[in-house]
Amino acid sequence: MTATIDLQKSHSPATNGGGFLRRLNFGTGIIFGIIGALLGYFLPHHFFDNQGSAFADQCTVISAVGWVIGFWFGIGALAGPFKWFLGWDQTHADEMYLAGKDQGKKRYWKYCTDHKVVGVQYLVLAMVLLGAGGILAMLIRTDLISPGSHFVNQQVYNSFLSLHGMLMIISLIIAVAGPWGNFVMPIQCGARDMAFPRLNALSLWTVVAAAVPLLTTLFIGGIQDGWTTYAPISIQTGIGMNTFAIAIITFVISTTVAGVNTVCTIMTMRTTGMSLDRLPIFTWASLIGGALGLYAMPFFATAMTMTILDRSAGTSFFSADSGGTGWLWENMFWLMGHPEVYVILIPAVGALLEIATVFSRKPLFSYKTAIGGMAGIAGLSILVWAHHMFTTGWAPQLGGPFMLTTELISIPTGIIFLVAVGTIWRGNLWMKTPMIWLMGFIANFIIGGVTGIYLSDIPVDNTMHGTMFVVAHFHYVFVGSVLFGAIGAVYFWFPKISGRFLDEKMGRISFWLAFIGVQVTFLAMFVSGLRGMPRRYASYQAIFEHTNVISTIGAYTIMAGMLVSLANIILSWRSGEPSGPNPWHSKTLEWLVPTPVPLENFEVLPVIESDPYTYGEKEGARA
Amino acid sequence: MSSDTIEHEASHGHHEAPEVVEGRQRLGIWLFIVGDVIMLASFIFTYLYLRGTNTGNGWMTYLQGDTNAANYGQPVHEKVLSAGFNWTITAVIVASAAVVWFGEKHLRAQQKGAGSFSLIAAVAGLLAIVASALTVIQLRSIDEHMPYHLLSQNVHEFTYTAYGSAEILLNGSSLLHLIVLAFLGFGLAIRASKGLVSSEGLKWSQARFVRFFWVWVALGSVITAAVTSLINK
Amino acid sequence: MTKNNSNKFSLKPFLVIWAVLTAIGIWISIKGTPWLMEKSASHQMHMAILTVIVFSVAAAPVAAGIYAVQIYALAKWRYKGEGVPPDAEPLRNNVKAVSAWIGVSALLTTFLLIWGLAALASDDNVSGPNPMTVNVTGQQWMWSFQYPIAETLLHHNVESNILVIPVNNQANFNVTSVDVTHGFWVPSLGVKVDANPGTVTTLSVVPNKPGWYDIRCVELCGLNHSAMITKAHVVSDKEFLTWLKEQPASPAAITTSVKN
Ligand SMILES: [Cu+2]
Ligand SMILES: [Cu+2]
Repeated sequence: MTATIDLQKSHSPATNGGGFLRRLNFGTGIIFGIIGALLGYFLPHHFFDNQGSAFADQCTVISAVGWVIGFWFGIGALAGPFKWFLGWDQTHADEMYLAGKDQGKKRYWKYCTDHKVVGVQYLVLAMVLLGAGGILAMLIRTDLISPGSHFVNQQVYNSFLSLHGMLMIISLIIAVAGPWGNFVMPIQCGARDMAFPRLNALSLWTVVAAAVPLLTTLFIGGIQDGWTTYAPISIQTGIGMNTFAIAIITFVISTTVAGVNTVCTIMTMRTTGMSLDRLPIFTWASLIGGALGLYAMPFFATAMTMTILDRSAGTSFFSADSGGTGWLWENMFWLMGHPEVYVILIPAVGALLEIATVFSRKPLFSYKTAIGGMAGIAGLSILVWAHHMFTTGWAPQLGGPFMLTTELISIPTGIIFLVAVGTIWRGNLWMKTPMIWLMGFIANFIIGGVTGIYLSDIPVDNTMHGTMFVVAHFHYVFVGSVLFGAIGAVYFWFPKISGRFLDEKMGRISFWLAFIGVQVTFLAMFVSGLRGMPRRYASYQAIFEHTNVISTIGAYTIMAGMLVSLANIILSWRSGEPSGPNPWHSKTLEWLVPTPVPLENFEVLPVIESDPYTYGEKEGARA
Repeated sequence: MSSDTIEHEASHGHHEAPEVVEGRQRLGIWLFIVGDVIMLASFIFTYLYLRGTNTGNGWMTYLQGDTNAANYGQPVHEKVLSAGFNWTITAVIVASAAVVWFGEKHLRAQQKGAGSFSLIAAVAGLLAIVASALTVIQLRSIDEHMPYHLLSQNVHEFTYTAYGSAEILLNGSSLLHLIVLAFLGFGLAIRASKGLVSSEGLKWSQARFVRFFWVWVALGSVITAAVTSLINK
Repeated sequence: MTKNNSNKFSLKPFLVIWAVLTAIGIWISIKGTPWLMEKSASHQMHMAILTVIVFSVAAAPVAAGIYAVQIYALAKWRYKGEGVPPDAEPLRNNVKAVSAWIGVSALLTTFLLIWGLAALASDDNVSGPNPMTVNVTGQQWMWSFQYPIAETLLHHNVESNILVIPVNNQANFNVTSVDVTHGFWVPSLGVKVDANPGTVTTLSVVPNKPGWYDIRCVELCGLNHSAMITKAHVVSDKEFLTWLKEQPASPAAITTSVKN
């Protein structure tokens, strides 16, 4: 990690003395995590009957839980509750130590409560996870390069496919809300930190705690049931499912903690004058996304708990032999699954709308409509889950109502387009890289949105469901829209965290590779789907060959584009062109504090007199 | 909000007023409770969904797999957990919540010292431990009556009916909550004995927030007991 | 800061771009869709293709409008000077534009919904002569089809690994699984339903074109999911009866399919 915020670089590192707790870092987290995992694996041999067929499941579940608890212990996450219990309250010096005061770059490897450190940690973590998911995507596409290709065997293919899906979902959930919801959002509110700084560190390191068992899945036989892990195949598949499930439950703890923290920060930490109708749009998006995550994610934890119990404790939630049903899983999963799409999308939209106003040099068009649009999407998204179940045979009589709620979402989604277009309208478009990614987002999101309308229509879904058409549709949303938004946000806010610009030329090359790659890959994939190719096929009939070859070539192109941006980030972090505190001449608060941003952000808290979108207006014209 | 609109506000130092911090913590606790409410809602949904669907008539009676070939396909067993015992556990949890709630209120009204709150918190924590123990007994009773042997002769292989499964989920979640309550209760007791829970300023607020959570757990327990004892067979 | 009011919008070139893009979109919708999609052999598939065309035509002007703004903006409003562009003329809101936008999208949504419900109703009310039941069972990783009609006609069970049904007659499928969830899909017939263990789901279809069609599993069901493919053969009544009689008697129906 090569962050350049060295403001707190000290003459005498405070790491000496202060006892055990001050020695904890990522390394000790790993060590204690491994100890926990080993204890978890071997202790059951003494307590459980190892004759049962579920014994291997029981051992892996307890081992994965042991990892998580050990890692929490080793990174220092359990110190807070422990000290609270014993009445050993933290001193101010302890708090400053936790906030990373005088620890230089070392604080990036620690349980650090400074929201800016957490933001940078989230950025790196999101890139690592996106990278892992991206490599899997390349392996999947390589396997699909010809009809009967056996680049990897089917078991490995299914594991790659499942892990790719889940890794990408997790990394996209944190890709915008993680780095910028932590680094930028509190400053935008005029706060000195998040509402609960220690919970903030907990949410970050809990994602790390979840990522390890998730990746472990690949090395203990993988799973055969896709990222949706439908039951009952999730009960039948190998022991990798146990670590997968524990990883998800752990991740849900992280998103819940992060959601509480985000909502609380925005509701209670705003500076004087920062009324809700002056809040920057990205902060609004963080608020809506955080609240929606708080609603959605617990369903996932419940569903995964039931999977674990069915596998290792003899319950029958999903087993039709003794009263269970796979439809229970499907309902529970999609109660989480659809809102989660918007937990991913809304923060990215918020970031892009900030970009739209700054680079058009115009106020955000119809601010209140924009908030209404995002809130409308969030509200409707909790009522649409069964559109994923139109063809499962569950409750056919509910098809009409769910078709209604789903199609209604196109109205608030249309508002997002209106706001983006209205902001650009007659602006002085400053076509820097962030703006280019915004343009790419608009172009791709139209396709992602329109194809979603086909799928919401039951007679069409009856042929499209479960095909490559669906895969192409949600990749236009996740890659073409959300990832473009996430990268645009990196190009936009990178100068704030590093004091340096990302390279423009590399940014443009990266954009064009990714943009063309997305069209090639996923337009061809639409055709595969229309012609009838089901998703998750390890091999396919010869009629689908051409479109699959095209998709594979396009996927390599996207990867090339991503690698250019990755190289850009690494190179520019070391030696990019210095940017100064406010290179884009923006008016939101994060750009008005110095770069690097000092600990606690503001010397004196600002008093706000208008919203930050006064471009072209007389100061104070709008109070 | 350009740079010149950022005015220096001299009165605003780095230290926030206690009521501001308290308000923030209160909202935090409420939001965690919201998350927990959704969790419980998903458990109750599971219970009712499985009851409503009753796939293969297997909610409570196990149809297949008796090792005795003559019984194959016959309803083998029906067993509802004791509603009385269920309500007993709930009563203990409600009692613990009542101790925390009224004890805290009373003490605060009287502006008494921290010593007596230590006792209240310890009693509440103890009640949570008692309720946990009873919940373990309840879980074991599922274990004794609910499992049915599978096709194999291996006695280690069994499966719970959907009803037994849903009860395990609800009781297991309740057990986890009670452990957290015991942790909070004894933590407050220790803190109060050290003078860290007192009527001045912020220090009292933790006790009040713990009280919110405690009451929610009791309420959740009542809802669960009502659902499982009214709708089962 | 200096105001820059020079960014004008002239309707004519914009309309031209929009019209051209819309025309291309509509042309692709009408010409491309039938070429891209599976050929139809039933009412359901016909409705699916028709719906995709109609929705595409309805979406074309909307998508074209957005693209036209992007193209126009990049051509006309792009700041070509050095450094930070001056602020543009502020436009905080335009109630008429917002209302019109929401109104139009509400109208379009209403249309989509009414169309969808009507199409759904017509799919659900599909009926044809001589309704015949076929029990479809998925298992890892093959399909099997049982013909209860054989018990009436021939007094023995017939079970097959390909699906044979008579053209222009109503086929009712009772779909289930013996292990994990599978997805029963006959692309050309435009029908699809999951095969769930312990539960029977149903489908009705009247195939209107004889021929061989693919059947594919569309719910990930483990190792050989992608090999869980078989054929449907739509034949004349006469051919069907001949085929049925040629089939050997199979021992017994798989019990799980009648568990409910
Ligand atoms: Cu959805
Ligand atoms: Cu299958």
